[in-house]
Amino acid sequence: MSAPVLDVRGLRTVFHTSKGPLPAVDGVDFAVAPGEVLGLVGESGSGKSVTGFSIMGLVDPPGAVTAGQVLFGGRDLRRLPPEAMRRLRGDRIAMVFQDPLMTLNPVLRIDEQMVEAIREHHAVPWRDARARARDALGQMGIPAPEERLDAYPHQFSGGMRQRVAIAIAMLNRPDLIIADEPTTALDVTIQGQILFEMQRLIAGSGTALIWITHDLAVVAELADRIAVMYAGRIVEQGWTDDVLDRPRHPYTDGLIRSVPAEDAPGGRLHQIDGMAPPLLARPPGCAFAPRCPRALAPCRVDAPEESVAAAADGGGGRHWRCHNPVPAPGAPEAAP
Amino acid sequence: MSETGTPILALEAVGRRFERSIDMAERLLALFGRRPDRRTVHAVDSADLAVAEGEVVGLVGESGCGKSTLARIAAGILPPSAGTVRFRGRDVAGLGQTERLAYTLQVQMIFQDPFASLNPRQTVGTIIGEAPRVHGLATGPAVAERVARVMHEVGLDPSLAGRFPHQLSGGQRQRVGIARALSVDPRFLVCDEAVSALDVSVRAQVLNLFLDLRRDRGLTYLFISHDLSVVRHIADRVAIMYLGRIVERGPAAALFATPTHPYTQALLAEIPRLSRRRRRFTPVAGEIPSPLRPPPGCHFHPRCPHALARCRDETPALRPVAPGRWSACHLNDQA
Repeated sequence: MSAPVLDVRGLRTVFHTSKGPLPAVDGVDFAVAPGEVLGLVGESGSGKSVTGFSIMGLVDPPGAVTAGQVLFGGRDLRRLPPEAMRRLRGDRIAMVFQDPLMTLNPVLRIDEQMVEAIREHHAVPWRDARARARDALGQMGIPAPEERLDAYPHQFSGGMRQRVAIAIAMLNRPDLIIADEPTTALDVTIQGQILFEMQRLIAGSGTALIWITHDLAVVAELADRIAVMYAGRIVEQGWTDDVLDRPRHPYTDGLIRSVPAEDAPGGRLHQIDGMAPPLLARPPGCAFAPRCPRALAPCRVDAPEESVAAAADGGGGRHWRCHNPVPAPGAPEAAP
Repeated sequence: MSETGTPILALEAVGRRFERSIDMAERLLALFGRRPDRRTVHAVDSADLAVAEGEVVGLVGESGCGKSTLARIAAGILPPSAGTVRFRGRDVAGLGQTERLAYTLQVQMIFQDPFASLNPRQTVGTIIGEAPRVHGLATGPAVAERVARVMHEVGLDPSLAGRFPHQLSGGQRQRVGIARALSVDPRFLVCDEAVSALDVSVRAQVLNLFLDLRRDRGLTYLFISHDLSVVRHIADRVAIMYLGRIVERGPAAALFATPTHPYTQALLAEIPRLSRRRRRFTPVAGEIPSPLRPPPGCHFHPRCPHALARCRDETPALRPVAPGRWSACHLNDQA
């Protein structure tokens, strides 16, 4: 595997509140290779968005990244002075949000915003920057890009707005894009169009992509690798096929089985009972233990360390954190 | 199966227009001869849909297709501006006061956002107990008993009755919304995106609850969702809407196996699937047009890969194409 674009080690992000520190991200390790798509999957409150914000250096007080390294091209972003970090953001690393109105300024025309995003980082004449902006809109499948450059954000539909936001993120051909639920609010036919454009763009530029979502099925179709988060930790990660076809963590297994199957309508869905623990009251040991059908006594005491898969089971890039993992297919242990 | 016998609820050629009201400035300008801009949205355009007792009918469509408007009309919250709504065969517009009350109690609605649909200043017990108390279905201590019974039924610990909505999780709040609907012993539930805001693991719990309630109470559902995988799982029959019109209708299994309308085909191809890996996306072209200016003829024709010349001018009627299956597409005439 080539050297990763991004290598996150032991990342911990804490929100300090009057009720005590809330560890939203609690020791997260993962890496993304150039051109790779990593699906970061989790339910509300799992810490997946805060992970994205922490990498970007966008966690504001009372939150703070308290531990770990964010190695981007070998440099630890946590040690970078704010000005250097600002130069990197929007140039080498870009972020796309669920709501494109978070990135777009409502009182500026699209061309002003896009030209600014280029000229902030590169000394290019205004006209050239505008031409690049027009091409970027065209590449995202926006019809009549020349005329659309003169429009304001409110004149676009939701799907078109998200295309503009992605076009802005791609403007400087970043090495990494972090996309936080970018298609969740869109209709399926529009989501399909955006995934299509995104896939084409990153294939051409070699940009790595972290796609943060709660939707396992989108990630199945898009991602090379998957990391599943629960209560601030990555509980399982590996190649998409390994994680989805041979999940080892009971939470991953439960999530996959609670998606309605195509061939069994009307049947009872597998359900994970209970709900995710609140940040303030995470149980000791494994945070999933109270909901886990495979939990053993040690699960309620010790937080499981990361296990590395055997070569036949996905090899070095595949990890899970579980004392009593779901047996690999063909393994002897009986189902619980 | 539902096409015969008297359905519990029938929508016949139901339409609903929304008009922008003219404001003071425009009224003044009208005095000086400027015609006000009177734009009309046909949110629902001549929709026919019947739901048989005990059946689950799924209503699917993307934003702005009119599915929520149709849901509100079915639930009796919004009057249609054209067509007839029949409950157990009787036109609800002509019902007397007592019959009308029986209809509104028997048809209950469950909303997408349990935060917006629960009063933040009332306890869970008050929220659930209000309707049976107001309508005299229970009095005195019987109210609390009824509240405890329905809370238990939807999987909520009755000890939560003293809590406020903000103290509950999203899944619990949605269960409160369901308990409130059940508290008046309805026969028919209209669920408008009732599981869309929930996390995957919680969504499975709530879908199972809907299936349990159907079995235990013999409930009938109109289940509105943009999520086809959920509808495929829960519905017996499905209707697909696009820009105010029902474009296809039929038994769920057959419709999902062999969709006849090009829009249904496109929609089904776009459902993300767990089994499909590293897909090469080849999406449907075009945006969803504004309901203010729908394309003439078949609303889908600008995005349709099979569009013919007549699709631009003639609106295709929803017609039977196979037993129990209806489709509104000119291509059906050519087969």
